[in-house]
Amino acid sequence: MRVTDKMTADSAIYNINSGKIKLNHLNEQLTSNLNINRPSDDPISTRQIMDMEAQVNSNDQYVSNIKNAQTWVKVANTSLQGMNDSISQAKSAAANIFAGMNDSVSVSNTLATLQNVRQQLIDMTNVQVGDQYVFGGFDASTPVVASKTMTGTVDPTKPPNQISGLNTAGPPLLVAGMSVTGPGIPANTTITAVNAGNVIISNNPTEVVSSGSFAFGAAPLPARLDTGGTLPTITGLNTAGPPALAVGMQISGPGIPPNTTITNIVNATDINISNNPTAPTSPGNFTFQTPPVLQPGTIVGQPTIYGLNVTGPPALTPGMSVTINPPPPGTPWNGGIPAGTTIVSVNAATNSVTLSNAPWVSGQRAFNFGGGISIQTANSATAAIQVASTAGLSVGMPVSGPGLDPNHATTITNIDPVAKTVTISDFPVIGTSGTYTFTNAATSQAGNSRQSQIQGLVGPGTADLAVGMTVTGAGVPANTTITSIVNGTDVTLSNALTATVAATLNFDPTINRSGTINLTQPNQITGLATTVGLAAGMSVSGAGIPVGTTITAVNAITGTVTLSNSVTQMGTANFAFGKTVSTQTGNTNHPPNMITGLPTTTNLYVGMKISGPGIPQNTTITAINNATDITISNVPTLTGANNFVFEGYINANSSRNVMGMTTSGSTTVTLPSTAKLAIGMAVSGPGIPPPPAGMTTTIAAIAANGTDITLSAPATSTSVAPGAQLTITAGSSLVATGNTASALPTMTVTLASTAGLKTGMVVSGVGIPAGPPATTIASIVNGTDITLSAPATNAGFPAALQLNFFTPGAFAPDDVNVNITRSSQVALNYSGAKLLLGGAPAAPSQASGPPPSNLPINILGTIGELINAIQNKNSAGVQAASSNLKAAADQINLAQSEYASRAIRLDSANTMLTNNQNTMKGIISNKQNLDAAKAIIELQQQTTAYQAALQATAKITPLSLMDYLK
Amino acid sequence: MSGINAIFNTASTSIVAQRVAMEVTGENITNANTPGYSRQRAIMETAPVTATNGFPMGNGVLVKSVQRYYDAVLQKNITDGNSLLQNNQNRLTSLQEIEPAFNEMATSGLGKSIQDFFDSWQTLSNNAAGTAERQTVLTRAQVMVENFHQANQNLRNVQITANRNLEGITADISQKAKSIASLNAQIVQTELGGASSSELRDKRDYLAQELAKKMGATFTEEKDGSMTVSLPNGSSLVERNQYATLYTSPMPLVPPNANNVNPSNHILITNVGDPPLSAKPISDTDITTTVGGPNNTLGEIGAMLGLRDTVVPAYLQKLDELAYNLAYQVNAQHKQGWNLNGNTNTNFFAPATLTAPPASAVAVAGYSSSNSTLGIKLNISSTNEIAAADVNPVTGGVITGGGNNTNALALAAIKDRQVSFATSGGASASVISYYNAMVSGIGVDVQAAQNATNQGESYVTQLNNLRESNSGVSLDEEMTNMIKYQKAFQGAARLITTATDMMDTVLAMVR
Repeated sequence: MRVTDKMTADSAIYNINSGKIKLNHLNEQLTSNLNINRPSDDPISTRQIMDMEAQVNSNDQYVSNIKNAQTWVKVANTSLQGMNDSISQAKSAAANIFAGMNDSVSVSNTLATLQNVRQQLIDMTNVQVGDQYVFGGFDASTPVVASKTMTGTVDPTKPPNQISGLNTAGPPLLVAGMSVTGPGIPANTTITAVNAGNVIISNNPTEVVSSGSFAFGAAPLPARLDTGGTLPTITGLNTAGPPALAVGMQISGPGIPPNTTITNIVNATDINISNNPTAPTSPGNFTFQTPPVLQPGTIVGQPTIYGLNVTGPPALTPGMSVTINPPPPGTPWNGGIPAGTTIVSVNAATNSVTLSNAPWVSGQRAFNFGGGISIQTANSATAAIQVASTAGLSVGMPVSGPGLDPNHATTITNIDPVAKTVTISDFPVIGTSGTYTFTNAATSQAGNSRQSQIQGLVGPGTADLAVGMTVTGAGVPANTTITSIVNGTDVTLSNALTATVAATLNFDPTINRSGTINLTQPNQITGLATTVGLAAGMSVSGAGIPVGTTITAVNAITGTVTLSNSVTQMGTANFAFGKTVSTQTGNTNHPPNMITGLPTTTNLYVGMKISGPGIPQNTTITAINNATDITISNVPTLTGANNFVFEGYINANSSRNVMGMTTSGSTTVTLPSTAKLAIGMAVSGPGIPPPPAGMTTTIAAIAANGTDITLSAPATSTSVAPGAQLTITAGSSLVATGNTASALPTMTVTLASTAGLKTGMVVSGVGIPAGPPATTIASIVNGTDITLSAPATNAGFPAALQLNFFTPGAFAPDDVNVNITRSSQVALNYSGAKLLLGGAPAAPSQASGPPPSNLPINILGTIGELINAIQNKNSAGVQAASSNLKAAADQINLAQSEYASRAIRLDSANTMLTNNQNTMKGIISNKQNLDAAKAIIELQQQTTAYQAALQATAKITPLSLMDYLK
Repeated sequence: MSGINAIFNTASTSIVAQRVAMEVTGENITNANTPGYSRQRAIMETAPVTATNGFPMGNGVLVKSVQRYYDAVLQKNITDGNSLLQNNQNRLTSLQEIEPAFNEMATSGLGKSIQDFFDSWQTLSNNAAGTAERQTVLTRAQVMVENFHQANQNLRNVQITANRNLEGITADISQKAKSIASLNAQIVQTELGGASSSELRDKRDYLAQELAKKMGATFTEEKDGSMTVSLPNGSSLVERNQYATLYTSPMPLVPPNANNVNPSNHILITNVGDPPLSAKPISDTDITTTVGGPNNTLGEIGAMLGLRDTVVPAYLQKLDELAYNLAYQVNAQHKQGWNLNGNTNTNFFAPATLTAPPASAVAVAGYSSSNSTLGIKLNISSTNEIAAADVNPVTGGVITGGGNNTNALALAAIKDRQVSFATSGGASASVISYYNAMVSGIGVDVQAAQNATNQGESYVTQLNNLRESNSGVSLDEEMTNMIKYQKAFQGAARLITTATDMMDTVLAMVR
């Protein structure tokens, strides 16, 4: 082939250029340390590297999520541990207070502890990571537990169940629970709430009243049945003895009235006694004694002194005077031997003498014989009492009676049941006779006395009872009051029941309680055994209490109430505490059980049936108010304008025949009954005027006596008994459009702003039911209105309503989830609702993890209940709260275990991701990172090749024939 | 005729012939580096024979012609090869301009910003009420949107450059057509006079080759020596001494990039013989779709048209659809959530994404651009407007607050969610994966253009070598020829000297 210079040059340029390109590429790789510098270097590897880097990128994000979540879980767990400790503290405080419920120091210490615990719990619930509240659920930016007070008004502004225009400030004060009577007020209506100038009552008035007179009284407590009761009792004895206790034994001991005897041996430990103890319950030593035996008797026998030395010297001789050395001065005993007593006879055989008078002493004495001739110590002989019977007597029994020394205990020394003589230890006046009392021995035992009880109260139980209330009913003596509340069903009474059978009992809400008024605090009653049942606003009466005095404050700890007036008399007395009774003039609003705006009420009559949207079944007209309004028997369930169908009691176009007594010229017709008749029904029959054209005689009025009706026209004849057969026909059914206002619960509250409020927040305040369950925000209607989960108990009064929002915000059932790996999430928090309020558990938000559990304990509420129970010395309440605290601890433990499982998931995800990252980065590095050794070797090869190309070019290019031409 | 004078005559023909040959050699040497030059040679033959002295005797040497070494087939291959090579080279250059905008290997580009955007939703889910986290989402979204705009602009710049290049290319083509027509006239004239027109032809061949680099064309040599140049669609560019003018005219852009507000140049051609620009352009032909050859594979003009109308629009459509599908999914999820102002059903990105994927080219057109009405942008501006919650935090049905991250998690999950892409024939892919495939696709395109260019280069190099081997000037060869002709010239001169001596001898005999 022919080769030209240009070819050589071109080839050299081409090859040098190729070498340069290769060197440049190697240079780029070496300097960047990357195998692939642009997608076109290796499109497939580029794709793989990019995909893997995307995964690495995602994993980096997951690892960052996990680090974040681990912090949350750690903080939450620490907080939960703290809560656990706090609850333990509350539990031990509750356990300890049982012993010292009446010790005001320990009570106040415990209360302080519990309040502290509650604050600790709140603080720990509000624990934050950064600015986020760990237990906040989705609302991590507001405190989990906090309180907030807002002012609002319950709509509508004119509720039907309101009496306005009242002086609610008193005196006497109107308080919730008072009974209300007055025009249009249904029976058993009570005040449910008191506002400035108006009250909310429990039932809707049946009519509109302007300036009606309403009486507000103490609401009677509902009667309730008991299942029986107990008589006064002493428990904790050993009735089997010895000595055994027996019916009829007399009892004495602390709080036991005199002449109390055993009426019944209940069992081995309990006895019933004849009188009610003075204290509800009292431990003590009780003495039991069989009543003494009374026997008529005569003292018989010879006064004798024996054990003498009658022979002397000096010998004792009849006629010698006998005296006894006097006792020490001041001793009431006046001798022992009547003055002028002499020896009657001397018996040497028995070394005894008989005396002219019986000495008043028996036993060993020093006797003076013959004015001091002989002084001998000897025994005076015993006398005996001749009794009718020796039954029930025993040796050693004390005996008392005429002729016996009243200053000296005389006992039986021997009993001769055959001779019916009882030898006694004393030397009585012989021949005295009368009734002798032989006393039985007493035995003493420790036990607990208890007042008569009513047991097993059903219905409201003892919830609304208070110490001092008067009880009436079968088996309950008059003026019996409650002396203590034993438990939810039992009370002790001031008097013993006369029967322990089941009976219906009534309780007078007036509380009678003993207290003291002293000079230093003339407006206080102190020393009340308990203040349970007393409340500010109650009326007070008693010695020295001005009329119209009410309680202004109650101090449960000191047992003191403060009065609205200063008292006029000091001292301890019984005081009666009751609800204020007041009669006032006020106005009621129209009730919702009306249909208004009817075109006419002309053809509507009382008693007609109504049907239509929102009208309950069997609703009838109860009153025709005016030309457009009627009152109906039920409250509609809907508000709005609708068509209503009115029907007479007798079906349309049907008629009823009744016997009626007509009187000529009178419009009054007497029927057997006016039941089911309605005004406007057509009447026809003998004596009923034939109607003018197009008109009928109708019932114009129905009398209250249940038998008389008034016709629209006077009868034309008088019927004789049993009367004429009249036909009464109802009109056809009518259809008319009217308006109803439903009495649906008032649940809307208008606030200045709903900012910061969340559904589920607990609402409390005047007129808001406290629960349980607690009233919460059901929904937020707009910027100012909220609806409540339970109807407000009062509504719309002009005064502002204080609403306390406790625990707003973050009691969310929602968990904040974060991704920890692809399609795997873990919950960051454990919402406060689940944790502290015992709200509904969160829906399962992740595939794995612990199952949701229902946690019913409101921990903060329980602490609150415990505090209240201790304040009120309510041991049952303390017990209930304590058991709830145990459940609360379980609740926290469960939460802790769930956190532990989350921590494990996070750790394992972290490990897995780290492994993944390492593997993936290795693969990427394999593809992307330059194999430097290989590249350098290639570079050397290329350098060599390039140098060769340059050298070859340099060698070949200059070669030319020209160099050899001359 | 015979005798000493005949010797003189014979020698003189050689003197002339060798001189001509020397001249040709000189021409060759001097044009050794002239592009398109074909070496020439003097063709010598013996002068006509005369019968003298009873036998035929030659009368010396004649230069019959000066010929060039020329291989027409090779020349055609070179022309065609250059047309393809130039096309590929231009395509490669433009693709290499595009590639850096999508080079995720060396820099963090659009792909990284999309990942960052979705990761920012995850970060937000860790603290859904956090202002900083919300701001991060907005910032990441803005960065991503700007990256979309940047990528779109890079592609559009390539497109605009290609469009502008057409103006220069058409002018160049017209100029070259004019030169060819002019050379045609000279060649015909020269050759009519029997003279050689090798240099003119070489020049015309070179022009034809240069013209082929600009556009695909067919070159035909007519009987009279003129060259006819035809466009791929058959219409004539040059006929004899007449030529047509190619020019560009701004027209509404070619679909599918119909929303491009910049004018797009159409290629028009006048009738032959009408240059300069026709006064009645209505008669001019729009050859935009054919001038680049089949699939715009020929010449620089084909490369530019292909880039402008096919390659870049395809990338733009992919980019638009990527932006659209991303925005569609984010908007759809975002609309289900509630923002801190208590609003729902708000789009995260504007314009609203109304068509469910796979969306048509028209629906997505311009979505990745910074065009104020068509292009992607943030629909929200404040952190409070980010809908991270799945229920209303203000008046929601359940207790909730700003910490509700349910929707944020759902938005973060879009990163891995499959969505149907029309540009993938309806196949589903996640946006990240689609983008990675797109980057990989650009890499494949660049690599293919690179390979085609390399192959074309070696092919053309090979052809050039062949041509050079045949027609190139070898200085060594020319030197040898020079010596050869010099020696022959010296021989002829010696013959004359000898004949002069003979003549002198003869004349001396006369004296």
